[in-house]
Amino acid sequence: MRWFFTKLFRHRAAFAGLVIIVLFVLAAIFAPLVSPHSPIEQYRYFNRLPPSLELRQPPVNPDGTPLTHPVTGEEVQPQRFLMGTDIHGRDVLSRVIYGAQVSLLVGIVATLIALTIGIVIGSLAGYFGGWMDNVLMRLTDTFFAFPSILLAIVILATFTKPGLWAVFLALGLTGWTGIARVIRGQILSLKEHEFVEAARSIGCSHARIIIRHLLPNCLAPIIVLGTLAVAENILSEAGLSFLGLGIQPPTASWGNMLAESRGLLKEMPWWSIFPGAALALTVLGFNLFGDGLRDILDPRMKIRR
Amino acid sequence: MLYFLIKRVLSAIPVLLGITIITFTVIHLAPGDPVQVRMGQKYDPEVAQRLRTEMGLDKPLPVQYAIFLGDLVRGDLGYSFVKNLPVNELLRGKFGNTLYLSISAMLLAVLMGMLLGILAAIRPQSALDYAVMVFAVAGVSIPVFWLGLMLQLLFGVQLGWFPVTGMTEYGATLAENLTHLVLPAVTLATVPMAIIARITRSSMLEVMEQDYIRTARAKGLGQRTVLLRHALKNALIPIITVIGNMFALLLTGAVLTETVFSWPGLGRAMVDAITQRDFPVILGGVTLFAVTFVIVNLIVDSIYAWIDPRIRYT
Repeated sequence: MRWFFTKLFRHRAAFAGLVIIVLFVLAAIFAPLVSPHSPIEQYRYFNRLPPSLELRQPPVNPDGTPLTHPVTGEEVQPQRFLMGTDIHGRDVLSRVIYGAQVSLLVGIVATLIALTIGIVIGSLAGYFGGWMDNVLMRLTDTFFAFPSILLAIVILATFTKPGLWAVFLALGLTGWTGIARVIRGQILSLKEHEFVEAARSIGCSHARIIIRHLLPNCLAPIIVLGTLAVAENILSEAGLSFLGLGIQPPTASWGNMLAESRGLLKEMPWWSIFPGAALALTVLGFNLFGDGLRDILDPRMKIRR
Repeated sequence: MLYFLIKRVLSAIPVLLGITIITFTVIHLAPGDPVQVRMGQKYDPEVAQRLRTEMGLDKPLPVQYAIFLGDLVRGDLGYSFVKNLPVNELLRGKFGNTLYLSISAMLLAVLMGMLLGILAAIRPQSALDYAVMVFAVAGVSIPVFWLGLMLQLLFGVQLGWFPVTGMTEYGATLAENLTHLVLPAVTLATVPMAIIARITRSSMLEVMEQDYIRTARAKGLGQRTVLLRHALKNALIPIITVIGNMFALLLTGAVLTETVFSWPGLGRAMVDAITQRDFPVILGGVTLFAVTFVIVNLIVDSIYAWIDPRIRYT
């Protein structure tokens, strides 16, 4: 384990990726503490404000008296919006921070689903071979041939009200093909080793051989592909939400923020710039870390995307 | 070679069947009722029943699928539920627009990607190599649709060099056509370009260490000949594999790019069809995508077999 961390610290790109990931994970976990405002509160007197470090003063009544809230009657307080506000007067920074929750959650859960399917199919096909291999690999080819976003959209269409679970499923059910292929290849070459025969000769069941003897040897590709898959799933979630098929507003997701802001790109560019930048940075983090892990764990570059 | 091609065509059939079966099953599991969507407020059970018969929705699913397959073999994709048009007519123009955009993007990605990869591989560890590597990671990390928006903001709104959205009408001049194409094509090309640059670089680096490259150098061939005739030709196989695999990715990007740039293509039409529960258009679009994908793979495999004769006989 120690050699791994030593190498990780020396690999500058991987380390940078890890730092980005940790920052966004912390932001997501502690979102209520670090975000300056509520992500869904609409500051009606502060809408369409460009980013600024300054404290924004609310408008005043025509007679010069301070403005009061029409319902509560309280005086409207000055506010600070570092990344500006959107058309409804919501704080863009807070929405970007809360958006990290959705992105990371979808990225990780969808990847776990895809990994599970991919590992089961890949190891069955690789271990048993024969007709089972043929059928399962044809199935994999079929899913692979399908542009994944279309399948995800078709799956999402089966939900009357798309939400987190729908997105988990849509991405999990489409993202497993690459994993299945790599695991199959690994198992195919691993099963020829003597330790498998040894395990079989002392009476291990097929399930035990796969789970206890073969899969642990596939850990490196599983970790690398998993990390890269998180990046891909985060991108896909944002894309689906951008099309209006994923996470629905007012829940903040980077994708649906971009969908809302798109029409006012010219007038309010900051509303599009920040969520997209956060998205690109997070994905970059996972890609850098995943590539770095590949260099560290698999020096001969066996794992190709 | 002919035997090889026939074998490849036959092996594509189960994949095509599989894709249509999956789509067919999933869209019929979907809750919305196309008859209800079509009739909207004026729902009348009697008329609905007649419509259902007319649209073929009253038959059991396997029968519906068989009818779809039968029509498909004759090149007929059925009739749209929502727009009063045959699916063929509805999708023909849109499919052309998508192909126009995708092929332009792919050409750009292949040319630029390979050029960047080769340049990086000539001088490993140089500033240029470093820049290409950064581009390779950044290019796959940037969300396609956000890149599109930012390009619109920079080149459309701020600089005003290119139109922000849309595609020209039929009959526009070539120049108008191209200015509309630039931003969407660059947007769509970025991800494949980054991937191609990366694989070209690593494949070239691997080949450059081979003995035959040293031999070529030793017998006094110029840098250009060594690079293009000896190194690149041998480095091409993994590059072509990646280009072939990229096609599904390209179509995924096309759906988003078409949305950002209001490009009247197949991707956008599919998303609309799904929200409107227009089953024949969804099935037709998916089938078109799948057939294209299979043809592209066939071409890629033939190129392999042409470059590397060993593949033909395995």
